[in-house]
Amino acid sequence: MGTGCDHFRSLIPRAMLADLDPAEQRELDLHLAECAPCAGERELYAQTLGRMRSLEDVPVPRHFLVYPEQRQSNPWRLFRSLTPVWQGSLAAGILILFLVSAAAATRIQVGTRDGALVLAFGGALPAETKPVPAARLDTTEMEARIARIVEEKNRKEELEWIRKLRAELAQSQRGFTRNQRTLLEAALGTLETRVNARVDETARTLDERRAQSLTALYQAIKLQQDSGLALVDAKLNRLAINGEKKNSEIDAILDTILQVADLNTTQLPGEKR
Amino acid sequence: MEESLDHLMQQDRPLDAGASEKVQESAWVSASQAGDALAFNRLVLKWEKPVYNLSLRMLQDRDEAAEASQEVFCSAFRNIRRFRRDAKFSTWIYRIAVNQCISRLRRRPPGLHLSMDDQRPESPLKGWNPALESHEGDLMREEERRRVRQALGRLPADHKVVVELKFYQELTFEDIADVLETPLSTVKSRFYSGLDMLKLRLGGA
Repeated sequence: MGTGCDHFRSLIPRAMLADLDPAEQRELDLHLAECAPCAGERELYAQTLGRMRSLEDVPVPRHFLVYPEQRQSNPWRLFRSLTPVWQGSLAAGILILFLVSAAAATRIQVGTRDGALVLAFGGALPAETKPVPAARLDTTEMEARIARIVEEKNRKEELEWIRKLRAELAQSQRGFTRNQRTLLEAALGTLETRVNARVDETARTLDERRAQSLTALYQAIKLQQDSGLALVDAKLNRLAINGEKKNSEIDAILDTILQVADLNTTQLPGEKR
Repeated sequence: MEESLDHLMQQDRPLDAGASEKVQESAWVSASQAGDALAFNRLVLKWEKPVYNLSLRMLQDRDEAAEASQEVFCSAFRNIRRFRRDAKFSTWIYRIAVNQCISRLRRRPPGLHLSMDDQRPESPLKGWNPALESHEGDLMREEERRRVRQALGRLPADHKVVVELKFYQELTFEDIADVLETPLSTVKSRFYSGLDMLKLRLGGA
């Protein structure tokens, strides 16, 4: 067998079926004329094809005519036409679908929640939701706290004011004569009495106004529970400003009194410094 | 139905060769698509022999081949409206037949090679009347047919179907590629490979 025999042997079956172009056919014919093994190979193919031809067509055992009603598809026929793997998969799928449907049908629960239809599969319906009440503002406690804060703030301011006043008086008494000091102390006693009265009156006024403001504030808080402590703080600041105004007024009065007292001291007859 | 069949058989005479047959077949297809069962049955009578013999050589079982052939025509009848007029009816019906046979082969247990001769040892002589055919040559021819059936039955299905369509149904490689919706080179490769296997089993005998 020559070196090119493999190539020519691959051409033999193609040549038997006239699947070669003329040039290839000529080459093959030339090779087969010279190569006995390849010619033998062609003979084997020829025998094979000859034997295959012995299996000629047979007549049909019956006619395979169809009827108009056979145009309708039959699900069972379609199922049977599937391969076993697909048949098994489809059967398993249908079975699972059936079981899931049955389970859902037996365990399904229907109800309404907040006016909406609710379905529950395999479990209880969700609990009815109740509105959560808003946190209640304890106005009484807040009133007491605000009152304490305001009272403490005013008391501190008043004490501070009296301390300053006494220091001022003590400084003013230096260099005075005995008589002047007596007069001054008398005047100061009177002044202190008047100042105390005025402070008490101012305090009462402040209390009243504070009470009025607090009442208004409480009402506002009650009406606007969600307004928060920021509003309260603003009110407090306003109250403090009012208190400072009153304190300023008291300061002005005290200054006037001190000026009057100072004037009386300088106009006393027969007195020497 | 029997009257219709006789009527059909009378009208099923070939008109002219080639083009006339194609025109006639095209008319039957059109009528079938319009719902005419009689016209479809004319197509059945024309194609039942190739379809049955293809099924028989593929499945190696007469009853199953008949069942498969019936199913092929029923399926074609149900789906005739989907047939595109620009395609060949032969390609379409062969495709249905091949799919039917391969589907049935796949349903068989792996490794099982049915043969009409294996199933029915008496089949080579079934219907054989010694009084009429006693010549030794007949017996030899029947033995050869049995060997060819066996050799074909042992080919892989994708090789067997190409050999069947090319050698027995005499389709071109291009038509086979259309039927199987497979590249032409693959079709040729399978055919020559199948032929090589058959040569090994039959050529040296």
